[in-house]
Amino acid sequence: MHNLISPRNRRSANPAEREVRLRRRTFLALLGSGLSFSVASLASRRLLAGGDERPRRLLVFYLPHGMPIEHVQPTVEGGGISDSPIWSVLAEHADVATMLRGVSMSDGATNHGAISAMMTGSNGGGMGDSIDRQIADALGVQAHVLGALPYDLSSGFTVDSHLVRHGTWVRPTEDPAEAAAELFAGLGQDPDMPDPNIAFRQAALALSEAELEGLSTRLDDLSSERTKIDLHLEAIRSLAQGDGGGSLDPTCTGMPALPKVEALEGLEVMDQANFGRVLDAHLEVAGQAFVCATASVVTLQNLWVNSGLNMGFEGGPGVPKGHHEPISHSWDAAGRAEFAQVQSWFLSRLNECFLKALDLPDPADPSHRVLDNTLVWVCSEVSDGANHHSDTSPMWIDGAEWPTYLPNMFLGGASGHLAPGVFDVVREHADVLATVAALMGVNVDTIGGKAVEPIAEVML
Amino acid sequence: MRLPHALALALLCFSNFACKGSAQSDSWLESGSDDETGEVELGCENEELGPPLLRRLTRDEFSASLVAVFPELGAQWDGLALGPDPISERGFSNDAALLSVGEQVAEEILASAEAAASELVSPEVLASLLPCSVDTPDIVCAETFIETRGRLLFRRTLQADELATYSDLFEEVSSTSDFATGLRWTLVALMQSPHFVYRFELGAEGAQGERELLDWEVATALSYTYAGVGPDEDLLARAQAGEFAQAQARVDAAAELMGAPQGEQILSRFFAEWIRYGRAGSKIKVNVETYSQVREDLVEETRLFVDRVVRQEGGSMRDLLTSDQTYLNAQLVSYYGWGEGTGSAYTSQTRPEHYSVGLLAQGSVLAGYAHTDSSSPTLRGLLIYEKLLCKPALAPPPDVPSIDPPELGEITTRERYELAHAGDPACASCHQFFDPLGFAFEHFDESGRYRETEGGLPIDTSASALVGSTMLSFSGLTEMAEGLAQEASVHACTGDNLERFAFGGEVEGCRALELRERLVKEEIGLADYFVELAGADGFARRSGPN
Repeated sequence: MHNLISPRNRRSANPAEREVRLRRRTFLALLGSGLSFSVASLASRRLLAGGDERPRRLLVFYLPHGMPIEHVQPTVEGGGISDSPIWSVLAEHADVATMLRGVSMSDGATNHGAISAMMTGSNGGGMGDSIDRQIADALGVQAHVLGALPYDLSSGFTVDSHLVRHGTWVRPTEDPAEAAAELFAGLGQDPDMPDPNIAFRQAALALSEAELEGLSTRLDDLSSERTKIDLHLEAIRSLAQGDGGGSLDPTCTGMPALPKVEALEGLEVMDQANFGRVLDAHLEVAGQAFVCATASVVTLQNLWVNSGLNMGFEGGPGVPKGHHEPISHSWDAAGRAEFAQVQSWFLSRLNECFLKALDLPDPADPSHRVLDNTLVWVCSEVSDGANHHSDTSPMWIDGAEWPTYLPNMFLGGASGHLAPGVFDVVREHADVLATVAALMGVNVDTIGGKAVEPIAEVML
Repeated sequence: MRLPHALALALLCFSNFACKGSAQSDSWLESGSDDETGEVELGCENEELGPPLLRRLTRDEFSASLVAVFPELGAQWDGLALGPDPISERGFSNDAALLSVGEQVAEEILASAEAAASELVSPEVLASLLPCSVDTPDIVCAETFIETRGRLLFRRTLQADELATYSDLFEEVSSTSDFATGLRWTLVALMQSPHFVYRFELGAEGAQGERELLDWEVATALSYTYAGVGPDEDLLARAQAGEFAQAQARVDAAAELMGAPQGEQILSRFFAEWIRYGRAGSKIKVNVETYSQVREDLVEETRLFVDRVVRQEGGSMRDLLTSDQTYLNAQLVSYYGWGEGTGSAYTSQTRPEHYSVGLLAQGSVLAGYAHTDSSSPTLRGLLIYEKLLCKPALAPPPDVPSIDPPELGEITTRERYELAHAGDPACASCHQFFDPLGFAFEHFDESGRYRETEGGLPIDTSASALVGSTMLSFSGLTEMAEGLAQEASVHACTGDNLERFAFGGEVEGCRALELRERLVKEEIGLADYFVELAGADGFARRSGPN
């Protein structure tokens, strides 16, 4: 077995803990070795700092290019999620669903600016970290970023894919097997056998840190290059410190079964034909990590924004056309219905592969379900796909005026802090970020240098 | 009306022509024309030195460098954990400003270093890597290794205190483990050191406040620019002997490096990133069943075409735009309808007249700049406008409406676009500059194949467009390509992009004004221009501190 060790996956709650980063073939070899999944029966434990006894988990589920608004709005006056053509695929979770309407993108951001404002609140991304990182840092956990086709292989990691920022733009983990290795790192290791490599790695990192410090001093008169080195120095220090944990106590003693991940063996995860399988596998990994309490903040970045992915792949929504165009840019009724069908399909996978998996007693809080102690935030950077705006400008469709807004759906109980229902507000997107943080027990009162306030209406 | 997002990026459908390009881009609008001054349009007005830089190795450079310093890893080493490089607005993956090391990249570098180091100290490899490790596995053995391989990794001789630091690390680790483990973690530290991870172009301060690159920095710049890998011992020794203080010596070395196998890929990479013809390989064409079978072949066709014209034949931009040759395998011959081909090998073919000429007629370009179900005059026009004429990318307005979908047999693509864009003054204010360029392509469908008519309707490819200071009129792609080949601004723009690619960033002016003039006057081919940049003052010197 080819063990690679990375401090990023350290679980420092246990001083003798291991750091293991497994490559895909190693992960699959582990599965083949017969390690079994078992949920330790534990007394309810506090998973997160913050004075709350219930665990809290966050999944950000990003969909590019908005939704056709007439398929989002409930079809009856005063209707809820069950009456919304798109959201109704999640109707079985209506008791823990919160539809938020009336939100405009912050900073007047549109197009690429809106993508990078999605998680940062600033047009173009600003200088700060995205909200997942801010929440994770406050909770003392790692923010994981997974991605199903998050960028175009031929174009590379361009601005179309700049969603999550941890100091610099984060390229999501594309391979579900690598995601599994990352999210379940340390499971199954013997805590009584300390790994000497940790100390050796620390020594190597300390040497690099000293070199960078010396270089930073030398570059005193070259501000741009010094900034570059200081960023690098901060990164090395972060690696040396690990994720600062102490907050997560896994409830599993071994790697859980991940059949959807196993099914990808031998397949190319960036092959568009495998998109459906890859998405399912990522959702499976995130869901099981939440059940096992080995991760608590995960962003799943679906597709890059101008994706020409043909949605006719096996297991997909059955629309053999490009996601970006013509599907998301359709103006005719038939085309917009197809767009609704496609975006609904994403939600159906979220339901089948993630939400349902969380519908069981929380091992860390058996009086509630895992889903009750989770917050899922479904979001997009565009209001109506064809109209291609990111605010609340009304639209005319077939002679009727429709209100528009950025799609925002919260699912799960957020550990008892989320009020279910449909809420109409007039707010900027940065306030939604503050709300997500507040629901995770983290106070964020400025974003991008501007004051923000959680949306009290959706909070219990 | 339907308009794809990528298209929308180029629209400004309101009254003001608000260009939000870079300052460098703005200069293209302000450059004097040769009509007014009689001077050649160079795309820059003065010569400037670039700033001192730390250039992080790209993914490919990192991997190539490790394999070059440690051939024991094997040419097929697959332990690199670094992800794709960030891409600049110009499409380049080697932009020094974007290649930073944050947590994700730092972790990936660490993982890569650990993978490589583990491989190198494995029992199967260590004995050949370091023969003294067999009989005398001690600090002397380790220090010899650190000194020799460290010099190649850092691309200079390690200073005494650096050698001591790494020796101390080795002793610290090996004293509680063994020789191999000590060496392993010393290697990890060397490979993740900023002295390996960054190409240094800082220099030492000279008399005028400007900076002269140190000899090993020049060797490093030569080797990475012209071969994509770190300098070997020979190049370092020549640099140390002062050889590259002479401009011609640098040019000769650059030519030598470009002639070697690794150097042969450099200009291929430039054109692939600049023109982005590789995107054809991930496109879907819903109405063309065979497209998915040939899309990678289309990309290979263009790679071979560019390599032949630019590297093998030393051609100019004129040659690239007007060559009647291409490289096809049997599948592509059949795909294009040029007859029956045989074999999987790519062979030189002369393009039939109706299949036009040059780079713009390459199937990968035509398919890559089109929609899934139709051609796109705007996308193809923007290719020329932004890439060949260096016009600034335009900020899209909010609420860009979509363009109507194709109606085969009812209306041509050109007519559909003219209705949408030319028919609305707000849209026409921008689209007038690039849509006409795109109309020239209309005899080629979304899959890169020729069509005599569009759904039975006649196709009109005649148009006029402002190119530089010239109103270019043409009918069809061949005439337009030939017209573009005459334009100084096209040659100047190409030179500007080559310069940015070579130096990993941009300056307000040119780094080699006289050389740019020679390129624009077509006194020098593209490959020679690129090589001669090594002789520019700006290659071995940098401006003062910012």
